[in-house]
Amino acid sequence: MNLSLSEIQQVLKQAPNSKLQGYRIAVLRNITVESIIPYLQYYAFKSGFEANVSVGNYDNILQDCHGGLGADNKPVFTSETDCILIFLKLEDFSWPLARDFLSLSPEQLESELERVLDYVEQTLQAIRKQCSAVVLWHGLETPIYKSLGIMEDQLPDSQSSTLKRLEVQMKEIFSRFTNVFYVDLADCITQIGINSFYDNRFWYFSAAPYSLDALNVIAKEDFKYINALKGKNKKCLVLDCDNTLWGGIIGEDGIDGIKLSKHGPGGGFYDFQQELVNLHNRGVILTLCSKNNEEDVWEVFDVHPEMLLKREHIAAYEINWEDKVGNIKNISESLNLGLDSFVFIDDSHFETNMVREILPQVEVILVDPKQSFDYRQVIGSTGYFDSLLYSDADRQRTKMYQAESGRRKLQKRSDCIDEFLEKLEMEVTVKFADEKSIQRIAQLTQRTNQFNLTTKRYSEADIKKFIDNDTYDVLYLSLKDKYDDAGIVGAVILQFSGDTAEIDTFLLSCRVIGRGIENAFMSCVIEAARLRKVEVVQGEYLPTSKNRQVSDFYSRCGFDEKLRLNIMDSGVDAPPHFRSVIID
Amino acid sequence: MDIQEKVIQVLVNIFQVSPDKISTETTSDNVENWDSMNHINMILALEQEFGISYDEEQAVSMLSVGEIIEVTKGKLGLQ
Repeated sequence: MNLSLSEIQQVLKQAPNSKLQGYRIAVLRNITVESIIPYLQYYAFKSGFEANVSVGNYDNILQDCHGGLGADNKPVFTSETDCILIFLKLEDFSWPLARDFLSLSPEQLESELERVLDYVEQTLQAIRKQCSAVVLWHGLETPIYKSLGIMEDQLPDSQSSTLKRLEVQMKEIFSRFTNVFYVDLADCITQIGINSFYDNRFWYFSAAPYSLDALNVIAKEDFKYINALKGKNKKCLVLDCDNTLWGGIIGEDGIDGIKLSKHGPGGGFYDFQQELVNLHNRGVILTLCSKNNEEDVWEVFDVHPEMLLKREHIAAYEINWEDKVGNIKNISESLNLGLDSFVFIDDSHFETNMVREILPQVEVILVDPKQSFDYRQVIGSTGYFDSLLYSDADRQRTKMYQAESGRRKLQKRSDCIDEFLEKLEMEVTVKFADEKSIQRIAQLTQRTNQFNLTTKRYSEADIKKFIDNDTYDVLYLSLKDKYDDAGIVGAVILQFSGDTAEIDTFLLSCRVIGRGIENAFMSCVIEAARLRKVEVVQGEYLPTSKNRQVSDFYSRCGFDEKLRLNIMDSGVDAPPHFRSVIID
Repeated sequence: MDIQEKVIQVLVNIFQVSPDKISTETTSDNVENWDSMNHINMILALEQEFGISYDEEQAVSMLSVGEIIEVTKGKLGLQ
């Protein structure tokens, strides 16, 4: 998501700048690009630097390279400068080449091209006499309107063809210098479209060609280079599984129910996986962090015919029901890789917010399974993993990490997680079922496999019968937090006989497991039993292949070995991070 | 947030001043960082914020907060 200029300034104003490492950028230009400064500062801040940007004199690139003084009477760059950005816009440097091409005679054309290449070479030589800063040269923009129209592309010596050749010759010059890189503005234009790239209003009276969106994209592109050179590029991708690698939830939908295929539904996931395999082949470490039963996930890896991602692509994994913050820390420790080189991708607001809040070093990407067709683009456009090196070692990297990675003990929930849950302002509401909730409750009994103590499947008619029958209570739980209204995510069916309330059904959607909601729900169940003036609550656990995680649920709630709880002894309380648990 | 608050928020961010330094009475003369370069940044940021595009003349002449609010309301069709 792109921030507006105003938002970026706000981020920068609030940024703690004392501890950040300084990064000196000089901008040499023949156009007005001052508005890029906040964007450079912003991307520097995101990479852990405080950018100090000096801008050279307007249309004085070569003079500035020979000791020209900037606005503050200091040299525009010195031997201390870390990075020099060069904007040589052809319209301003060579009007004939850029705008009056058809009037050029062959001799004039030759001499104009030579003049450009000379200027490039002289500029770089002058820079290298003074410093070894990274130089990012912003490439030629293709003419918006071709001088010969559709004939242009048919001729080898047209303006477009000539400028392409000029570009190649410029790159040849760059390759003779160390640390000089070519930033392709044509790429930047492609990303946002030519109509968004230029803002002509300020071109004529202040020689500022680019829109804010363009400057944002350019600064972002520049920092792909800077991050790669400073070792700030990301190295490890932590992947959620359900609704990230495939559509749906393996523990609920089963191997035949999840969406993953080259064509048709699940195509976005398939394409995303190909992108992940490509990243793996580039040397990016892929890991899994998923709330699932481990064998369910590996079953997809081993059995699903359209799974492009294989076990051998995965360097480390944490597949369990613990919080993802602890799990990502475990992955980081087991790979011995710093969290600041991690990118975490998940479809859950809850998980992504939690990681963003508690592990701010980790770059977090939230994906929306309703737009799985964009997953590939989401990961492809970031440039997080871009590197200026590529070797055989990159292909081997995962094997190396797999060997190093050992399974670590699960960490206890840290205080900061409780603090995070507190800040979520979760509101749990438990109510007696009514007409409106019947459909959803029936659906939950049919679809919930994992946090489901008895896995009894009921139709809407069944649920209605329970509601109308005086010896049953049907309760449902809905959940809302600061970010999201999850709706009805839990259901309980109680059957009363004599002094006992039997828990026929107790289930929670897997989307909300791991926040302590089950305890909140149980305390309401006991409250409901109390209203009926019974003395004992009787639990039941019917094991299936999917619900092992709740095998000790009743004992955790203080039930005895016969799964009975005397209401007088009940010590189950809603965890403190819930704002309200209501029963009405 | 109403238009006035949004305008002031943008100016606070662009000129990097505290909110109490910007009121409807403020003009470019009272704000240290309101120079010609930041003026362009301000115009562009306001355009982003409101999803509008000022005319060339308006962009040059909006030198007080009061005027910015007037012109912006006009652009948004609120007058």
